[in-house]
Parts: sequence; C-alpha cells; structure tokens
Amino acid sequence: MIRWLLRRLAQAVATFLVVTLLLFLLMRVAPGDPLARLVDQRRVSPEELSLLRARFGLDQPIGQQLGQFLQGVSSGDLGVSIAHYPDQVSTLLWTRLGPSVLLGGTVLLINFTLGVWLGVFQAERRGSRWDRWLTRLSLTGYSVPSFWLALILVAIFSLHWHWLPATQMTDPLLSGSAPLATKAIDLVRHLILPVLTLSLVSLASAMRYQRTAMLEVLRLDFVRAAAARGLTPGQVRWRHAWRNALFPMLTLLGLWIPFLVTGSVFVEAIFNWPGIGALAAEAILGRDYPLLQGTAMLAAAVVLLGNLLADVGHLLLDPRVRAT
Amino acid sequence: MTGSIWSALQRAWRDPGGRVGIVVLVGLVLAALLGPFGLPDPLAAPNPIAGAQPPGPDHLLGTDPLSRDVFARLVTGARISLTVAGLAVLLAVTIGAAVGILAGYLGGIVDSVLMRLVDGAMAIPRLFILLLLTLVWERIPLAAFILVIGLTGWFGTSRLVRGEVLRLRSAEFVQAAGALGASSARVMLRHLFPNATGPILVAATLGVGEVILLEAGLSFLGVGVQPPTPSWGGMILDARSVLMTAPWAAVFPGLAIVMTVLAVNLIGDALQSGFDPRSA
Repeated sequence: MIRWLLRRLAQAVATFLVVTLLLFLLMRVAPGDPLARLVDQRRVSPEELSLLRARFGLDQPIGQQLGQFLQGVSSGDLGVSIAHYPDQVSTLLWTRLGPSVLLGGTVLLINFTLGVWLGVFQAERRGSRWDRWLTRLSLTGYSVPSFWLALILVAIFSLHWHWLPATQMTDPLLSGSAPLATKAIDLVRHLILPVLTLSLVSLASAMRYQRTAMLEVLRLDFVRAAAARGLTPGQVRWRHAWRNALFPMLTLLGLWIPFLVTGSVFVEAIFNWPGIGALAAEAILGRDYPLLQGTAMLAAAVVLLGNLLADVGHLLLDPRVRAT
Repeated sequence: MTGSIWSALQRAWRDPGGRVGIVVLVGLVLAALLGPFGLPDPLAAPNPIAGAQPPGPDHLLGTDPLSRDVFARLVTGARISLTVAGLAVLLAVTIGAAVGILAGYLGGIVDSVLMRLVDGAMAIPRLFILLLLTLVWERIPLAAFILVIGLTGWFGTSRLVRGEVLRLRSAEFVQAAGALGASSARVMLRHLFPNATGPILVAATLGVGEVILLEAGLSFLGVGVQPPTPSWGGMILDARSVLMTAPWAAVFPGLAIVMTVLAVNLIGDALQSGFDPRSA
C-alpha cells in the first residue's frame, strides 16, 4: 500500500513536470516574447524594454530560460506580475486564496448535500414524474452560462429590489469595530448571489453522478436482502445502498477540489469577489502573462492533488483497492 | 460509419428529450442559414444617440445600446456560434480519434509518450489554456479562435478512443484482419475506427455544448469573437452597462445560449442512454 502510494505520488509529480513544460511552451508559441505583447499597449522606450527583458530573463537562450523557470517553480517562485509589478505572482495568488476557498467551499458543501440528496431521491423514483422533471431541470441548469445567470440575478436582487449587495465580499462602509455578528451577516449577504449562481449551474453534475451511482447499487441483491431483513427504508437507503454508491462521488469530489482554489473566473469577475478567479480576469485585461500562467500552474497542481486525494480516499474506503 | 451515425440519430429521435433537442437544433441551423434575409442589418452603423429601443413592431426583440436590432444580431450570432462549435469540435474529435487509435494500436513508447502529454494537458483547466492562447493576439481572428478551441478539446476524446481500441485490439475480427495481411493503417481505419464511433459521437455532441458555453464566455471576456462580428457572449457584454434600462439586450442572447446548449445536451443524453441503457 505504501509502495502504491509512492508510485501514485511519483506519477503526479511527473505529470506536473509535463504541465510545467507545456505551460512554458505555451508562453513561447507566440512570435516575439511576452514583453513584445505588452509593448503594443504601453509606451516603453527601447532602453526600458531591454532592462525589462533582462529583469524577466528573456535575453537568455531558451534552454536556460526553461531551466530557470523549472528552478523557480520548484521553489514556489512563479515570477513577477506585469500588471501588479513588482509584486510576486505567488504572493498575489496567496492573498486571494481565502475568498476563493470560502466561495468554492460553500458551493461544494451545497452540491454535496443537496445534490447528493436529490440524486438519491431521483434514483429511488427512477422513471417517475419527479425523476424526469428533476433530470430536465438539472440539465437546464447545466446549460446556463454562469456569467449570464450572475448578471440576471444581480439585476433582479440587487439593482431592482435592492435586497442583496452586487459586488465585493464585505461592505466597505462597515467599520472594522462592528460587532462580529454584524460582520458575519454582512459576509453571508455578499455570499448569497455568487453561491446561488454557481450552485444552480453545477448542482446538476452532483445530482446526475449520484443518481447513476445509486441506480447501480439499488439493483443489487444485498439491497433487497437488507430490506427483506426488515430494516427501515432509511437504513437501507443510507447505511447500505448509499455507502456503496459513494465511490463515484469521491471521484467527483476530487475533480471539484480545484474549483475551491481557482474559483470561477466568470462569477468572481462579475461579483468583484476578491478571489483567484477575479485575479485571472484582471490578468486578462492587463495582458499579465506571468500572472495568468501562475494561476494556470496553481490550478493544474490542485487538479493533480484532487485526483491524488480521490485515489487515497478510494484506498481508505475500499479494502479491495487496498489489496492490489 | 454513416450508417451507425444514422441509427444513433434514430435512437435519439425515439427519446422524447432527444426529439425536442433535434427539432430545436435543426430550427437553429435553418435560422442561421436563412438568417439575415429580411431582417434589419445586424452590423448597421452604431447609433448610440438613439440607444436601446424596447421590443416593438420595428425591432422584434428590441435594439442594443448601439441601436442595432437584437433579433438580427441573435440570428447572425447563431451562425457564428454554431460554426465555431461545429468546426472546433470536428477538429478536436479528428485529432482525438487519430491520437487515441495510434496510441492504443501501436502501444509501447508511442502510447506512453502520447498519454503522458495528454495527462499533463488534461490537468490544466481548459479555460486557462484558452486564455493563455487567445491573449497571444491583440484581437484574435475568428479562424485562429476556432483553431485554438479545437486544439484544446481533443485530450479527453483521445483517452476514450484509446480505451475502446485497447478493448477491441484483441477482438477476433481485428486479429483476423491482421492475420489476413491487412496493413496497420487499414486495421486502424477500417476495423478499429468504425467500432469506436459510438463513444466518439457522444463525446462530440456533449463537446459542442461545452464549446458554445466556452465561446460565449470568452467572447464575454473580450478575448473571443471580436466586435463588430455579433456573438451571443459579446452581445451580453455590450448589454451589461444597460442591464436595468434595456434588459432585453442581455436577456435574449442568454436565452439563445441556454436553448442551444440545452438542445445539444438533450441529444447527447439521448445518444448516451442509447449506447448505455443502464444509466437511463
């Protein structure tokens, strides 16, 4: 088992190396260098440009650049941001991590409680009217562009009815010495619309995953046996069937963990949520290549971590996996 | 192969949801083809003074903040969206199938190298790869935009096809073809590819929905389809500043996206349950 874990870890590290290589190449497919693109928009004298080139190491041969890039990444140095010069990309990402985790975490919590419950509910009523309509509803949610839904919700609940704030994570006019409860309520009020947007568009996949997984289990003999032994429907549903339908959900959770960190570029940008997604949107406007690259790198690292965690979860849950 | 696509479509037609999807999608394609005839010019000279006018007899769905007809722009936008999605997915599926068949059939070092690259590429969220690529251009040309979306969409398909090929490689009819002296290329194209069309078709259909959403999102961020070419995402971006005074300019393009993506997803769903009835 330890050997399996180590092998899996080595695989993830190797994949991350490939990611680093790909992202480095991606930056270099363009003609010229990243700074040439910056100069299109700003007035920079040739002297300044060559100084900047030296600062970003762009005057060195490409092999050496790759070496430095890899060295930097391995020590957590993702370079210097252009739009927020001279801030480090890693520092910027770090300061924006909290809000993204808060927003993403709330959405995940909803998806993995409400979504799971709805999926189980549907599986038990397979083919019924409830099942059909919930499937249609979730498929519709899945087809809605998040940025549009966010705008519509802002128009209705913020601009028209003035119920909820439309931007930011906290009220800038709220004094720092306000009571904790007031601050908490303020935060929750700011959370509602972004969370609602993201949940509406992503709840569908949790429901569908859970429904399919549950259907696989419900047809098995041991479920009928459990019911025949006189267990209550709740016991059969959650203790017997659902526990065995957890596996695919664990995989889904692994796929969604990255979302915790990188958040949603669209929704964070619209709500001015001070997270990493909004940072990426700012990087687009400022043509900030290093920042965008650093964000992509972070995202990839978390994707791999999520997969790894899901695998470890499977290992812990299922003795059959442990045996191999 | 055309035969299997046809029978898949028939199966999708028998599913009520799939039928709705097909009808809507065919309607959209027709509208996109016939589109601009008889409608006001979607690229009419912007007239910011007249501003956004509400829906009425002159303008069925109103006009945008630059006083251009929303309905005409929606229809032209449909043409752009469907073209981008269709071509990009075609490109992605072709590359994905080719890579998958090569990796699965040849195995060995080719397989290892290709699949390690795919592992790496799949770990980076597609949106970020696309953002990095589209930012290379000051204003990305439409052809380059399609190319970029297509080139970032094949990783999953290649994995899927490779799996199918591995499953089929040891099947007797493939062995027999090899034993009868068929070349590797012939085995791949005539025997392996046609048998993997099912999963490819499902992946392609769902891919179209994904690409329409991506295209709209990137256009909304200003790095996709460039103005003045109408695109649904771009229309929402234009309408953002007049959300309260001219809601129609933002609402209708969004509804168009939802309708199109939903239609495509309904078809994909019907196809999938046709191939794998257990999940229905």
